[in-house]
Amino acid sequence: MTVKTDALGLLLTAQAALAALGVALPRAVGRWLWGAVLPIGLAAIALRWAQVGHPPMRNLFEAFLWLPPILAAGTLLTRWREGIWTVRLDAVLGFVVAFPLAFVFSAEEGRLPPALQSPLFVPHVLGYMLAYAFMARAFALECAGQARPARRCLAWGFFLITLALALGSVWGNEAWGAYWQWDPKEQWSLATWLVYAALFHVRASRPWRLALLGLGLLAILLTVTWINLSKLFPGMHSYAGL
Amino acid sequence: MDRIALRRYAGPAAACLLLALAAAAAVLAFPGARAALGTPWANGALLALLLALAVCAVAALARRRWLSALFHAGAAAVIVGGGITAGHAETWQVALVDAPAEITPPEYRRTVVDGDVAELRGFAIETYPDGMPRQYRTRLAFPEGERELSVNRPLRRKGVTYYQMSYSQARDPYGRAWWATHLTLRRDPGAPVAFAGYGLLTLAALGMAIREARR
Repeated sequence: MTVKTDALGLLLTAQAALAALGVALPRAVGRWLWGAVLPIGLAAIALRWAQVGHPPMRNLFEAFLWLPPILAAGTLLTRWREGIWTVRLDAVLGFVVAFPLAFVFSAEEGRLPPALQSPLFVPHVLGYMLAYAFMARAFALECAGQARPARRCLAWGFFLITLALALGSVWGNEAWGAYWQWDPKEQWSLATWLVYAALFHVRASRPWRLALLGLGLLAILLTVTWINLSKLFPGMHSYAGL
Repeated sequence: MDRIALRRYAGPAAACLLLALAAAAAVLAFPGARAALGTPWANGALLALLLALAVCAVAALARRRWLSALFHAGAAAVIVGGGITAGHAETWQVALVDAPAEITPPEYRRTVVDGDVAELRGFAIETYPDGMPRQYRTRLAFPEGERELSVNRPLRRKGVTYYQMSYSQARDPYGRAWWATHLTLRRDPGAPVAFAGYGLLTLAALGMAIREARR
């Protein structure tokens, strides 16, 4: 565990603290504290972007930067669309991401290698980050018994995960001349997509929906951590480490 | 089994099949498991999957479930594209040496694919201030003129795509070092079919999301 003491580190520490307080404090106060993650998270993204000179999406640390503000925006969106507050659920998810960002991941700066200099780089990574946030929220909302917003999150998450998978494949074809290379991360992204596709084929009862949403989220977690970082799975995504 | 019972069990059966496919896709990430690809069993399973998708697409069309039809047709197109790629794509690996023509045999500076001649005119590496490669570019001369390619910016010509892959150093008999640019040339008639499938899948998923948002 390391403490980042520069301006970015302070923003990330503040973000983690606000997420924790959003979970712990009463809702009336917690929603304001969790809501503050949106501007702070966006400021962290802007600062990192200015520091490295490219959209911060090169590795897991930079990609994860996008998740807390996306989750906070999701809270506001659900409040606007459904009329319900999901502060604690989203703040728990936000803290799970914000803590390693602030205290575990290395913030070492790096240059974009030629393979990442593509117009498809930003939509591919951002599509996946949005999809992962939607899917995590779908699971959390289903756990809380909010079936309708959970279904909406699942539907938009599935669209985004389909789009991001397709864009990655098209990008692979532009960069390396092959749209599918049996790369470990490609395989697990496909497995994740198939789990969520299965959900659309059954009018499942709540325990089954929960089980499938949980299985999909587990597949996402394994894809971005174990498959991404383990030396057991070398592949085209190996540069996307911590 | 009557039609109603068939409908009742078709969804759960499809969900089980998709979960089994997800498990297979995850297992294929392990290095040893990739030997299963291309075997008669794997090809047979893909063919069965294609047939199932075609049946689902037609059944959805008959029931006027347009998004479902679009989705299953898209998935079928991706598999058809993959099959065309596996059976008909051609790949050529080429290394061209960027040394003066006087000291380099012509075959080291030239590639010929299906009678189409491309000659190396130059290779350049752009670097960041710390020396890390930023981009590498190859200039090729064709009968009608010069064209350039770089990583992520392939060159397309007469059905063949030229990709900038990597580079290395080559030494001449006097010990002098010259850059060699490594290119992959590929003709893949399956790629447009698979991409059309991606388009249909994405469109159907977008339609499903909009429908859910309106409920």
